[in-house]
Amino acid sequence: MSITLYHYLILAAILFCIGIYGILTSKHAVRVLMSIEIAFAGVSINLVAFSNYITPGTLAGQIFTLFIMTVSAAEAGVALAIIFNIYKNFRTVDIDKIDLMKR
Amino acid sequence: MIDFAVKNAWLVVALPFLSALIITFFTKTNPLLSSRISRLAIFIALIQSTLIGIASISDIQYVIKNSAGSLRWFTSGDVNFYISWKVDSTTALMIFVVTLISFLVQLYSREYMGEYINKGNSFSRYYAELSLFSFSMLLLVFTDNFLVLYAGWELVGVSSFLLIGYFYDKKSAAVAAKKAFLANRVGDFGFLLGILLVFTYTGTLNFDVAANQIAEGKLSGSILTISAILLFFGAIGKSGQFPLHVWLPDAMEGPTPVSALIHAATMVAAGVYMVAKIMTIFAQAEFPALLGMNALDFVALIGGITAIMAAFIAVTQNDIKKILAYSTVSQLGFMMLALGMYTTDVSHIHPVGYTAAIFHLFTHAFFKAMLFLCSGSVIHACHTQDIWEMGGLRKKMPITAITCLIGTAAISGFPLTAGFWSKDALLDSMIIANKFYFILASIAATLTAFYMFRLYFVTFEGEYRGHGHPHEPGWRMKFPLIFLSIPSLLIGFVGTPWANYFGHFITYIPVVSHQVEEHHHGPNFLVMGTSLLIFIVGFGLAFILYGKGNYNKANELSEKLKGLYKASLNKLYFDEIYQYFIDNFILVLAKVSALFDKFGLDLIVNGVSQFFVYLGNLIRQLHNGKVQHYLLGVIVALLLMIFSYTNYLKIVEYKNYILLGLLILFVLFIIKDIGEKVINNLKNKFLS
Amino acid sequence: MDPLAYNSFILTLLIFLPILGSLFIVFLPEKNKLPHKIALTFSIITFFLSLAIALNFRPLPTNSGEIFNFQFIDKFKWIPFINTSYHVAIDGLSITMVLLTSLIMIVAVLASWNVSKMPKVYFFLALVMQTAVYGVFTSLDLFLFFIMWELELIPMYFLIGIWGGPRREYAAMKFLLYTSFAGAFMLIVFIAIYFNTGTFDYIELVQNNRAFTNLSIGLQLLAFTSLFLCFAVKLPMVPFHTWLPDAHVEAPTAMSIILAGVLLKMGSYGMIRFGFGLFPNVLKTELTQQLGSWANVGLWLAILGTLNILYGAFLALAQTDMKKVIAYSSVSHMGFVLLGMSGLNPSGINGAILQMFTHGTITALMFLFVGVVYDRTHTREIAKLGGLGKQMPIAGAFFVAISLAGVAVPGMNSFVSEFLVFLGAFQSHPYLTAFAASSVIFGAAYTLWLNERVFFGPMPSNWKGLPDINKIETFNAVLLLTIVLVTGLYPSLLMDIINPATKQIINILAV
Repeated sequence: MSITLYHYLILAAILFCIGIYGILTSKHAVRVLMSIEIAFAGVSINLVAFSNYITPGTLAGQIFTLFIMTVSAAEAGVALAIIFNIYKNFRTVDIDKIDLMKR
Repeated sequence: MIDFAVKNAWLVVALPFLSALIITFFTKTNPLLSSRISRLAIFIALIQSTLIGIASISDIQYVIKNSAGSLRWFTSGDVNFYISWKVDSTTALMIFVVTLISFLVQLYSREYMGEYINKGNSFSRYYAELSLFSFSMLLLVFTDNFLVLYAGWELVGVSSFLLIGYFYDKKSAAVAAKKAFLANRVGDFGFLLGILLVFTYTGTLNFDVAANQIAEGKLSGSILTISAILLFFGAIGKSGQFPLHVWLPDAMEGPTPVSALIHAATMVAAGVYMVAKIMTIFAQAEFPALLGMNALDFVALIGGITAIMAAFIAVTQNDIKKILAYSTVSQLGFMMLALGMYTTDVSHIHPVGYTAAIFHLFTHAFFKAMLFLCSGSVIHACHTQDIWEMGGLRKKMPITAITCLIGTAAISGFPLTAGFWSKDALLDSMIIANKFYFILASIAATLTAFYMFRLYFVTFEGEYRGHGHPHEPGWRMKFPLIFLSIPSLLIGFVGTPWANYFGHFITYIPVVSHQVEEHHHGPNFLVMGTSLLIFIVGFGLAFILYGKGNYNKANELSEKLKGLYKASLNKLYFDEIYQYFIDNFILVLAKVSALFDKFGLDLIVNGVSQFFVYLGNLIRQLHNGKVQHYLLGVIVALLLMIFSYTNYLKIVEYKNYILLGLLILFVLFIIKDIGEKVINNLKNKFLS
Repeated sequence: MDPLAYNSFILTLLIFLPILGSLFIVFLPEKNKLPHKIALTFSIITFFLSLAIALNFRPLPTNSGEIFNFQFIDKFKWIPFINTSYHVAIDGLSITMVLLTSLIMIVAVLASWNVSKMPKVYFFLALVMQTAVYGVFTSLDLFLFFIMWELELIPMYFLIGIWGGPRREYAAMKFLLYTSFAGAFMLIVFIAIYFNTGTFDYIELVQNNRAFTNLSIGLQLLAFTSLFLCFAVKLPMVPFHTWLPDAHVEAPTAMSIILAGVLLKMGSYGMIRFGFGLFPNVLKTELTQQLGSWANVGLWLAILGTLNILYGAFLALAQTDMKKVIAYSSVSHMGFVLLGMSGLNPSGINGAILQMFTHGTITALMFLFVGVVYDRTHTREIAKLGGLGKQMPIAGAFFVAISLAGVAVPGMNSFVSEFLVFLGAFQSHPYLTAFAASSVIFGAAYTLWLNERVFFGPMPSNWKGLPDINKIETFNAVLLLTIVLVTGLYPSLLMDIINPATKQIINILAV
């Protein structure tokens, strides 16, 4: 059995779904952040896989992935800073308890 | 001079109006000047109305033709509403009576109300209100159309309201004023409807035109009778007829000269005047629409009930003014009764009591005003209104006593006094038309003689039972008394059965002239004998019971007839019945509607708003401020969008996967929510 | 000023003068009662301007068969995209209401002379409202009318909600929601008219009766009912009146005066101008033959009017709060307007229009004196009051006069209007009118009862030393009472303007 595009896509989908699930259900803010990273990973795999199988000559998918990695790193940094500040203000990072948007 | 007076007859009305305006707007701070202006105005009006009266006696057609006038008041649609006036014989008579008594009362009041000169503006207010009253009353008698009649009608009610409530800081006066106004309004309600009916069918408000239109058949049958009866409701209210008489005795809370002017001589006679003035309409309302009665039957019935009922109540009253008030009600009942007397020939109704009623109105105005002024003089001297705290005043106040005796004699029908002749005429009309009412009126007249002499004896004879030292008033109060005693004695001679000048002057003119069999038939000695008998019985009873300054017999009699005595003393419980009706019906209805408004209608309104608030809160639950919920919403929405656009995106084969994804998300979420709750519960159970 | 000149700017000037005044208030400082003075100045200017317009207004003779008599017309395209224009003009009906508005505005500004809480905002809002009210009474474009109608709500909402009594927020919100909810019905009808005819212009719509000619009569009836509903809330008509007592009780005196004096008339004005003008078909008696006896609109108006009159009177009898008595008396008196309209004949409509004016003046006076009493005694509970006439004789005398005006005695303008209403309505609906006429008793009952309980009787000692009415209050009272008396003694002053206007309405109805 050879590994086809579909295998990659299914892997990516599974990763994405795991990520989404994590985002939706996690209580801890850092876990949400980690889940986002997983979802990103799923997307990145998609992009690389498509790039490899559909347009083998170009590297667009890979470049996108690199961008995603940099941006997500930056994003994680900012997010962590925010979470740190939230912790400072609320003494918790349980996002169920942070419902300022309700007001 | 006479020519000027007749051609500018409207001045009679305008003068008191001007005086009221001037006092209100300019001179109210100067009480003496105000009172002078008022008296001057009414004096000029008196002279003018005397001149008009002279002209009317010599040539009434000339006066009718030259005195009439009109002003356009306003226009609605194509109908013009006029303030119009015309002096006919009834009007000429009434303006003379009104201006004369107004003038005398204003003169009298100068002294009677003297203590109020230095109390702010209240003296000026009093004269302004008297002027306003004179204006309204004159307007009422001057006009020849229903709208202005109604306006004057309401305005006399207003000035009566103001004058009854003159001592407005006295609770009873304030309540009495309100009561008078409301009772009048009940009558006016019917009056208004009557006017509306007449206007709707005939298209006019002018008395004569309306009567002619009715004669042409524009308004006939039961509706005409109903209209006439509704118009008569106004008279019931204004003239204190049963069952709306309750306000008149209470109206005695006003200053006594006011009672003399308004509640004895003039305003209360307005009802009688009105019925007489539009007798042409009443006489045509011959269709028996109300329990087999036509309009005049109804008038007679109300008048008869009033005459006997009020006389019965007056017998036991202890307040000098209340006796006179009930006496007034009773006398007005006589007049109404006479107005309701008619004979029928060839389907034409001829009101035989027409002249008699106005004649009695005329004489009654003099002696009743005088009696009230006497009572004012007594009250002024004794500072009480209870006749049992008076007594023996003849020696201390001879002039008052003599004038009062003259008035009492006149009202009781002592031969040759004014009241004798007019009452004679009344009874005469009744014996022609209806024997039952003749007997009823005779009984009422006997009671009249009885209670009036009771009043006289208890007040002026015997021993003085009050406090202080009563004495005669000054000339301003004495003059009207003396002046009025002259017509009370002599004025009746204008209308004796032998030489009935009055009957020639005031006579009923039907719309459609038909052959009337002459009723001027000379003296009827049966009637005259009855009159004399009435006086003797009434006087005799009063003399036996009260004449000797010893009231034991009277007390014994009242013990014996306890039920009757109580009923009479308590005014037949009319006030109580009305109060019960108001408390248990009107006010309860008002409270029920208030509750309905608050807990019915307003609850619905607030309920609607509460429903939307509730709905909003329900949807608000979704917005719980948790990022993850919002994100879930986003994802679900995204999936739904993709799902619904599967055709467009050409991915129909993946439809089921998307559905599966949605389902999984849903299940996951439920598991998570329920799971969380279960875990929390467990935590709470085991960790706490 | 030529009243017939096209695009005469005079009316526009009148409408926007108050806004100009409000700008002055915003940009000038607050000290020395400057906002008060500016507001007074502008209300006086607008009063004289509207008086000048009224004096230059030329009513048509009553026998002319015209259906319009619009003068001082100002018209230009506004939003061509939806074919709406700025189109204002006055006729006899409008000018009566404009005069009333100007008059009441002076009184209201003077009655707010003691406002110290944010006077800038207060007078700014009051003047904006004046513009909106002028707009309502003069617009001949449905869209403009709607805008002005809604524009009036917002200032009043704030005026009640900020300067009102303890439950002001509730009352203001109720007022706003109720009226704007009803306004939605009007908007729907206007949009329906627009899609049906492609225009918002009143004159175009009424000429040839175009508004709904190609729609079925049932739909016309539905549209009329919706529009009527909107105006009925403002009138206010039972059972949509419950916002009124709350608004009145919480509103400051001056705003009660404006509310009762002017704003309620917007409802009845709308009914006569747009209800009668746009839907003459549904008022015809032939409708009953087509749709059954329930479709007799005149009869329904009479029923509702009678209900208003009697229900309002009974409610007034049951109140214990002075201001509520007057508020419910307003409900009762506005019922006369409905009853008059129900006659669909000259006398009835004349009476209705005149009643709008008389009620405006008299009820304004009544609220003024409720304010006078409340300012001094700090209570409106009738049970606690009494005998004030002894302490405040001038106020007492005025209040007696006002009460008498309230019970429609001759000489006061209400006598004429009520008489005409009865006269007109009686010809069409005798039994209902007879029923409604019993209000001459009940109306007198609650008014005189109030008068007796507050000003008559012995004085409780705690009212000793209360000052009598001051100069401003006296001026207000004299001003309004003079108007009441003058138009009562010589009603032709107004009737000669109103009667031709009524004739034109009758002509529209007869088409």
